[in-house]
Amino acid sequence: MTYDKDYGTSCSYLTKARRVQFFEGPNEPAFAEFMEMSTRCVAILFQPLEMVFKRKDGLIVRKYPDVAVELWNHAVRFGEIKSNQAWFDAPGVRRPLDRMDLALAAAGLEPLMRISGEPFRTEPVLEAQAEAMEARFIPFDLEADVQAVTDVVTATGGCARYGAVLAALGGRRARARDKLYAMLVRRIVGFDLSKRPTADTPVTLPRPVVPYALREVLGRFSGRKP
Amino acid sequence: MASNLRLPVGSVFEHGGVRIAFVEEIDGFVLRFLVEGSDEEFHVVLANGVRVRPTVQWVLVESLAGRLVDCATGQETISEWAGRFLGLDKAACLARQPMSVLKYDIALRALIEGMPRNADRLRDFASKLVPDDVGAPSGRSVIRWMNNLELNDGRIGAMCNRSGRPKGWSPLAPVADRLVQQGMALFYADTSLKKMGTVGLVVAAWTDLKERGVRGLGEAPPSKTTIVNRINANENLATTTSKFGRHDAKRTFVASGETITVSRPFEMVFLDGTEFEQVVHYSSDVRIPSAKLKAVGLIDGCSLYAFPNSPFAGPYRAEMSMNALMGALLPPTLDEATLAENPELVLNFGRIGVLKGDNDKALLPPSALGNLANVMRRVELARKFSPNDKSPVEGFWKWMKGQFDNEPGTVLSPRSRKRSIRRDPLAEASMTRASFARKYEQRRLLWNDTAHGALGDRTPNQIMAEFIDAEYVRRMRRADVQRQLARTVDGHLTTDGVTYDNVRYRWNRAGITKLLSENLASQAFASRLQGTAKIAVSLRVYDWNLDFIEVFDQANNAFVTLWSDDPEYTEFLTRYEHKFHQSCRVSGETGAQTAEERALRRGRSLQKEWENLHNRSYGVAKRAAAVLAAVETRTGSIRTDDPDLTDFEALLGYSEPAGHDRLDVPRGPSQRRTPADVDDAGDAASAPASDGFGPVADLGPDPRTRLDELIADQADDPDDGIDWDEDAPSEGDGR
Repeated sequence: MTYDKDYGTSCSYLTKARRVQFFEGPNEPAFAEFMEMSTRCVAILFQPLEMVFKRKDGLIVRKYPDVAVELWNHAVRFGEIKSNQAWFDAPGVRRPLDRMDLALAAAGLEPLMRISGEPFRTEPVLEAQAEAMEARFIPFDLEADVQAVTDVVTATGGCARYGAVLAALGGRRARARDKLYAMLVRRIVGFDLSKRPTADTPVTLPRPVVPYALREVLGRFSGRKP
Repeated sequence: MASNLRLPVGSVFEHGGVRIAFVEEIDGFVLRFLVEGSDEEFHVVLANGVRVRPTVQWVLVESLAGRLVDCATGQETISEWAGRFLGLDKAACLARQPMSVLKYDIALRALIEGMPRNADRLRDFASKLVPDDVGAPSGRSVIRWMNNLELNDGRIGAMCNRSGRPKGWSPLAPVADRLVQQGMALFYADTSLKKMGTVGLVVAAWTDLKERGVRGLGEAPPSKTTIVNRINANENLATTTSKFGRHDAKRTFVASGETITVSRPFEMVFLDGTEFEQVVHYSSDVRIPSAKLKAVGLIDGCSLYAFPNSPFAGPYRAEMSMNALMGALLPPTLDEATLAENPELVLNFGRIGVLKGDNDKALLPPSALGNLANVMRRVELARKFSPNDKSPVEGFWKWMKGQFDNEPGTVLSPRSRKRSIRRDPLAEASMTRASFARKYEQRRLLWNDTAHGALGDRTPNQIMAEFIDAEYVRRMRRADVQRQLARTVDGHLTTDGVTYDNVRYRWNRAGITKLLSENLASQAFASRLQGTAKIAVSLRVYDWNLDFIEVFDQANNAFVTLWSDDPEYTEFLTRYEHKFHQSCRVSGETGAQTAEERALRRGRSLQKEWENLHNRSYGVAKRAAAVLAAVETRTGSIRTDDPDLTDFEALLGYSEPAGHDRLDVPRGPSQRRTPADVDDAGDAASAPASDGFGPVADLGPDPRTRLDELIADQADDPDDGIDWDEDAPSEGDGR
């Protein structure tokens, strides 16, 4: 993130990265926020890996995959973020990405995800994410509130209505809504945030997952001389 | 089948005293001309008396012989100009030229009443009909208007002023016009051709053609201004693309950014600084013009609410932006009168969503970003060359500066029309910094209470009140917020405490002992001392109060506060003042040995500045005033605790800053443009710190590869012998 760029740069703290992450352009923060509030992702880091290639003419080329994500099943995927899929077929982008795929395969990792940022920047998604990201850090009672929510969801067989969960939390409606977002970011509850939740949005309890795989993968490469 | 002559329809020529107008080509050779002003066709009379239609050959022969002359301004063309206006109705004429409606009224009244065409009588008649601020027209003008109106069947469009050539018509001679047009095209076709070069080319071509006797060139070559005007008139996306390339053309013309709709207050907040044009006095006792004040303001994007902040003297510094941010994150301090009228104004604060700041490192230093991200959803920096990204706050500054516009002491820009050599703003200055700040605060409250069209004629206060009623105030503890607005720096902690910026902090003996004992184990052996503990720590320094710093205790994941050992000097001292006092210490003199001496020297340097203030030039007084003003600000308004919010408990809700279980030290982004190269010796001291999560991946954007950075790394092959380019050609092949 520099102060002298043709496109805007930004930074934000991500609980799933446990660090401040720096972004470029509008696509990366949109994707980061979606992953932060999604229960399918347990850890995310931006540009954590440096891949060094040597071309036939001896030139050293360094590449930095945009994002590394650890999913709920401990699968680690690296990805490149562009605004839409057409960019991934553009000259100067397709071949280098193919080479990075080869390098990842040689290291035993899966190929790069081609992530397009446009679906994450539609109005409903942005609106929903804005509300959720601002409310992430509302404190909630780790015993009482979590117990109330778990009771409601398990009573209806693992999937409850959003309205019912809010009612179970009690108190001021806006505060209960924010507490639910705070629980969402900590993967205590799970619901779909591709648009603003309505009273009928299904709320579930995701399985608790402790992230370790991303750390392990990156630890394999730490300290290696380029 | 068109001929190559390509005469425009309606071109008027003169042949043997007869004006003829071109109508059409009958076939590729024969042309049809009409005698101008009639329907009679023009025929050429041959030697034997036969009348034939003119042909292309005839036109060329007669032109070369000089018998057929081109007339650009034929009667038809004049009437064509009038034809532009005759169809207009009264409303359209009023929109274009309000005077034409007045002329029409006067002339029509005169015609209806049958006034004689007598200049004196008509002047008296017209002066009764004309409004007071317009001068009475002369009688001859009224006669002319009446004639014109009658000639054109009483249409109001005839009163419109036809002067000036219509768009697209050049007053140059036709070949000269063509040369200028080609010169302009050449300018935009060639990347390296400059405007003066174009002028030279056009003039050279004109002279060349003139020497060869080409007609239609006019008397003098086209002037430099003509050619430059033609070039400027054709600057658009297409021509700029062809001259400068697509990227630069898009930067100049393509509309910026995406519009982001904000639907709630606090969702997007803009930070910007500006400098006011008024010169202020130091104080009411010392009436010396000493400073121009700056302000750093914070505006909410949805409600256009201006959060509290105060104008200051001196350069932009980070502590002023932090001041502005605290105005939004912490409850505002309002005076009793405002609180009595509108008690709910004290609730207009809370956790910010996205902060959009300027690209200025003085406003938001890189070392502050790591911590700011804890109290906000996201911190964004504007792209370069896009002031439009912050239009709400620019609009606020424009309004605020407009409010201050006619105050005495306004320094006007050199191009301002109000500037006069007899007015000296320094002599006229009459506001003091305190009175300016009071006015600024009043006007800020006025802005918050003014309905704006962009808000649907509601006031920012109303929108904030509605939002708070519907939701609640996301409040954070004061200490938490202030810690997040501090800067992160590295330092060393020893048994003597921490020294940062020439101030030693050590009073918290129990805290230091605990810190050293619990963190020494994680310290590298190479950086230890013998017999005494020393650890490298991360500090949070407060630029607005040097009295204390906070040291991060890694083992216990907590902060320990240390106070300075010179409290009389550092009490509520700001970093800017501290720098000033440091620079006042004369280098040859023995430095202050004791705290008392330091306080004494601080008083002495202030006194020296005070005594000499009236002797110094304005430029020097500025710096002194900035420091002295900081003293005044400090004694006037220190916020150490929150105002009374017990009435509004139901609307408050605690929020926490983020990062309580973070793994990194909250630093700013790396400002390196090239990736960090680990040297071959590979010793730990030189390797940049990584937090154990991988190699030194530069968190900045992808650096450009440089041919001169060819690293001869034959021995260590990172690809383990695999040549990625073995069966693939190089990257640039045709696609």
